Amino acid sequence: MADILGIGTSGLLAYQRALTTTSHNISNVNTEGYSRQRTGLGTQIPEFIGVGYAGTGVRVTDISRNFDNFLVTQLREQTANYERYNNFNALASQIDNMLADQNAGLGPMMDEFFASVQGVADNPNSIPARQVMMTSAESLADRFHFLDNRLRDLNEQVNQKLHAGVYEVNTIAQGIAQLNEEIALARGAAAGGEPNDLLDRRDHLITKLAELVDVKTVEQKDGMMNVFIGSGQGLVVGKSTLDLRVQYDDLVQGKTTVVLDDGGKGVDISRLIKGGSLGGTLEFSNSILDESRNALGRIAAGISEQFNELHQLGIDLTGQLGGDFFKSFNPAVFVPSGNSSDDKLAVSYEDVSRLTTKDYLLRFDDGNWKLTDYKTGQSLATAAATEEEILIDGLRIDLNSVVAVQGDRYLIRPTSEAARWFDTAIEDPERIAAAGAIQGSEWVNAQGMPSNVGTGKIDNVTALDPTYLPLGDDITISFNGTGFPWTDTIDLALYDVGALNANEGLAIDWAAGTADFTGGGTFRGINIQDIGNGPWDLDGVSFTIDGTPIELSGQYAEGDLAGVASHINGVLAAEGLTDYSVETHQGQLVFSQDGSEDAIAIGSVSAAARNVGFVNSAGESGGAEVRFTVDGHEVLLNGDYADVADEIQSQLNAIAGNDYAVSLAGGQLTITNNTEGTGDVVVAGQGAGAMLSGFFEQREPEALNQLSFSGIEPVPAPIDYNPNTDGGATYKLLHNTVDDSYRVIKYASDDDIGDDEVAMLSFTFNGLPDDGDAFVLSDNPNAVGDNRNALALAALQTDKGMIGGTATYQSTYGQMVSRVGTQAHQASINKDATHTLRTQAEQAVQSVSGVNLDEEAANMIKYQQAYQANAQMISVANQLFQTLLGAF
Amino acid sequence: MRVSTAMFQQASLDALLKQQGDISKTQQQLSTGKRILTPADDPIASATLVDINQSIAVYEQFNRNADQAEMRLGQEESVLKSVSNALHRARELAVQGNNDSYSADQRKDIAAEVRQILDEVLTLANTTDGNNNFLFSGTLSNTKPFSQVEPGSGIDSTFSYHGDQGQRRIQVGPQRTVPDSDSGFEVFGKVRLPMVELGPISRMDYSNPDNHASLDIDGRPIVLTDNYPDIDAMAADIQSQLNADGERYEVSTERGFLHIRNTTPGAGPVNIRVDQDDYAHEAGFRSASSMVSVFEAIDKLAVALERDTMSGSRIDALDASLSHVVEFQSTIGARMNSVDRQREVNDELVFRMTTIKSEMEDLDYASTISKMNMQMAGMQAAQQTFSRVQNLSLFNYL
Repeated sequence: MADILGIGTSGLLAYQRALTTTSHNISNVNTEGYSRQRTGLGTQIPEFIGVGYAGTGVRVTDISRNFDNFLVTQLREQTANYERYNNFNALASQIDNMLADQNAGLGPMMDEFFASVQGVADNPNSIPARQVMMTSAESLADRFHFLDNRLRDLNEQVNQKLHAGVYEVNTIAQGIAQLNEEIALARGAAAGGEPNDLLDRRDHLITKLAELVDVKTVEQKDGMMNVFIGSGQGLVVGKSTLDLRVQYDDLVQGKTTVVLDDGGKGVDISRLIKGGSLGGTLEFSNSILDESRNALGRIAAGISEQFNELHQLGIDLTGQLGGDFFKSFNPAVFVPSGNSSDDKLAVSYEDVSRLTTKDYLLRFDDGNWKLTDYKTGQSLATAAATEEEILIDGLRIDLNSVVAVQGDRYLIRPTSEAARWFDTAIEDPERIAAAGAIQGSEWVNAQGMPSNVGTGKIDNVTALDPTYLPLGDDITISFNGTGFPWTDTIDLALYDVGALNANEGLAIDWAAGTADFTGGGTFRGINIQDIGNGPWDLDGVSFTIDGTPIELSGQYAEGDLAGVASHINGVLAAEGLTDYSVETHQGQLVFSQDGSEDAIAIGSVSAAARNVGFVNSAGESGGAEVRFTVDGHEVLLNGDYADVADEIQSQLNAIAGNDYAVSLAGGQLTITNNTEGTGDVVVAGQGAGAMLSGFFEQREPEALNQLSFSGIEPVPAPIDYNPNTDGGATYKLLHNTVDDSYRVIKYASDDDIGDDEVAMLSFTFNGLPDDGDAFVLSDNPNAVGDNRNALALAALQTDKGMIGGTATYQSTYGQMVSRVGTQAHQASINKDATHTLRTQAEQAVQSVSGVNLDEEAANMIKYQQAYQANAQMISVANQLFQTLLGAF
Repeated sequence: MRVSTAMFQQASLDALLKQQGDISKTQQQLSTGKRILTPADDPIASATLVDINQSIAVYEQFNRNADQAEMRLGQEESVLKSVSNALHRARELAVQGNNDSYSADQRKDIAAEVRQILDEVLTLANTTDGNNNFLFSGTLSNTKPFSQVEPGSGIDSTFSYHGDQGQRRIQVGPQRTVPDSDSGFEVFGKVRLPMVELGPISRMDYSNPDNHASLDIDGRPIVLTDNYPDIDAMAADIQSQLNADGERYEVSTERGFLHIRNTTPGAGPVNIRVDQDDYAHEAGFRSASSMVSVFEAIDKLAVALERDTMSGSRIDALDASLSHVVEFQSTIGARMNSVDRQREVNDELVFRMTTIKSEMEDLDYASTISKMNMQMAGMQAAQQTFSRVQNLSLFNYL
């Protein structure tokens, strides 16, 4: 009976405890980090009653929490990942949104600015148009500043986030340390009983910490938890903690790093923190933020440098040379306070088209200058202490500007400040240099009226270097020429073929001008007039005669046609072609075949053979035709002509628009093209018959025609000018800075310009000037209607002058947009992915540790019923007792 | 799997929030009509769009430039049309004045009208546009290009040009610029006459070495050393001296005037230089060029009419002036045509790029609206299940 009572009481107590735990669970259903607890029940120690052991009731064995360390560790990892991408994405999308905004982006502003430059080009002396250009230049500057400020604000935001994050990490770390202590104490006091709620709180704090940084934990035997961050730096060890702090970079202004305070100098763990909101923030700051600012600055530096470069070559409305349009600046250089002196390294832009978005660190170490990529530490260049400069990525680093001292460092940021410094340098719209600095014109008489006689024209006069402006004295270009009108006449010496081959039956008398081509003779082959200048080289000359290959060799003195003929005859004999022979006739080679009236076919003429005048020829038989072209117009002589010159002329002029004059005198045929400005008369495309008669491909030798210069000392040497070959060519006036001489060249590429030479100006020249015609290059102070420089400035918009000549300003900006867009896009995908993973991890943890109210309700009913049943047992015990009592 | 109550709620809530986010984005796409809201939505297309937007802006600017160029060319054309009308009238008057039936006095009357025409042409050459910029002063837009010094009736006037030879070009396409003006130097100053006229020349005795006349024709020194029986003989001598090197000059006379013509095809104008102190000057030789200005051609006509020394060469000079001016008119026409063609090309490119741009960034409404409907249906379902499921609790039955 006492047993029943005892057992019932133990049940009551046990289920009361169980109900307490259930109610603890229910009340903590929404407590973060809470793990549901369960009351462990066990039997009491049984009592030996002789026949065996009798149960003595129930007892509470323990109160444990449902907790899976593996799942929680996973949750922490996923939390750190998610928070990293979430933060990165939140920051990156701020830039992304800023660039996306049509009204806030840079693109429309650049378009507007260049449109306004075109406006000035359209109306160069319109003050309103110039005012619009000034205003839109200022708006462009404002836009650069706005974007730069937004990026700077973001930098500030990053710093604040780091400060706040670091503070929170420190607070949490201290909380963990404190809980460590309490847990150790509680465990000792409870002799092995787990302080569930304290453990929950500590685990929750660690999970909270994982939201900020990625953590690793190791539990000690005494129940204390050590927490490590970064690459294993101990943040919490037992009861003690180390503090994180935010430290400003000594080189990069406004840039912060996160340092673990180890009592000494501290450990920079910025690059070691990969996860959590701190990791994401640091990653954003190091990759996208710095990169974007530099990319923006690169465009700003590009526009201002290139615009200025051209603007200096123009003339403004007041007649002055254009100076800087945008404020000129040099790459930013930062000198750390630890350097031996405050001397600033001088760095300048050499070629903005080659700028990168890198930052550079120059350090003097072990007697050498070493230049590295600041971000990656990659070595870029080394220079001995004696070197004067380093030229890299469009920058000129002047090593002489500072004293080389061991350990001194300089940070060069060519683009980071450019967007901030971008600004207009002029305020007065009249100062916009829309006109070209130099003009080219024809010589004029005292009344300003034309004085040149020919049609020569100087054009595209462009100043190339502002140091030579203004010119001061005019530069006069005079034309000295002979032999006008140019080469529109050709003389052909015609040969009398009758003497060579009487049986051909041609009656041609060049002296009389009569020719009968109807005689039915046969030309036997081809005729070689001249085989080049200098010694004749027959090596490699091969062809076939009526299908038999012939190969010539050997060198012959120029003009030794007889030698060549005898060589060919030797070869012909060697090849068994004994009936063939070649003769010289009036400076030509003529093939013939004994006893045959058939045409001789020459074929497979090698390249070397072509060079010395051989052509493929099937021979010409039947009517002996003379066939050739004049300026591409075909002439065919196959009749009986009383005046062969007249016939040629009428054939040529039968083509509409042609106006040729052809005359024949003393065996000399003269063809003149009367259509003005058509250049050479070219005779070509001769058939064999034509060549036999002397219609060789030829041009009139060029006359000596020169442009000579005056007005500049020492006078540059005159240069040849032939309108047929040089018309429209670009000429450049070069100044040799070493011997101070000048030179004019026909410009093809920059290779034509010597190392010591500077190109001062360029111009094109075309047309047919007359002897004595002159042209003037002069300063251009009054040409208010001149828009040449404005056109050149406007052309910068579509000029590929950035990223090594591969991109326009706009596409450079496009690259920046897509880069930011890609990173934001990637971050957003990662954010979504890690969010799912974190949710899954959380669900897994919750499935073990979370409170389910239905379950608790069921437990409650279960325990309640058990409690009631136990109470019934006491009641039964009582009844038994009463029954026993009642028995007495 | 065991689900905790808190997680159960959280999961439903997360699903709801996500649906809301998706709907919000779709709604934003629908309200802006844009598929790409930020570069992150399509980074590659975004970079291309930056370029396309610039191209469209540039081509539209080219068309604005083209308007500007056409306006200026139109102005120039209308001025040149008036000039050629005036020259036509002057030519009629010249033909009239060359008619032998007219008396010297009547010719003077005609001369007065010719002078009117000269004034008119001079005024036209000094035309300004609406902004007070001179049309024909090259790039010295503020400088009045032509002036005349008029010594009086029967004496040649001197005409001066004060502008420069610059020609402004307007960009109407990539790599394509069109001149929107011509300098007066070219338009009015460079009329090439078929020949140069000297005189009237008086017959002189040049046989005395003191009286040798020397002049320079196109750089060839000509010395007259004879007592020529008539000026035809002198002309023949000059011609033979000129053609000593096989040139093709023709020297002839008409009413006491010497006409020198270079018949070599493509030859430049004939230039004659006569020293003021030379004996030739006394005989009536003057420096002259077969390149004259439009004004000189008209002025010489007036002078000839006033001095009653009219000749056919005056009409030739007007013909040459007229065809010179008409040549510029047709050049302007050709430029306007080319501007129009370029504008068509520009419009076509803008149209194409706008199409590409629209394909890249514009929304497919049909599919997006149906996507929106699906998202809304999903949202409603989520909301309804949320409220129903949340009501399920064992505690309700206790």
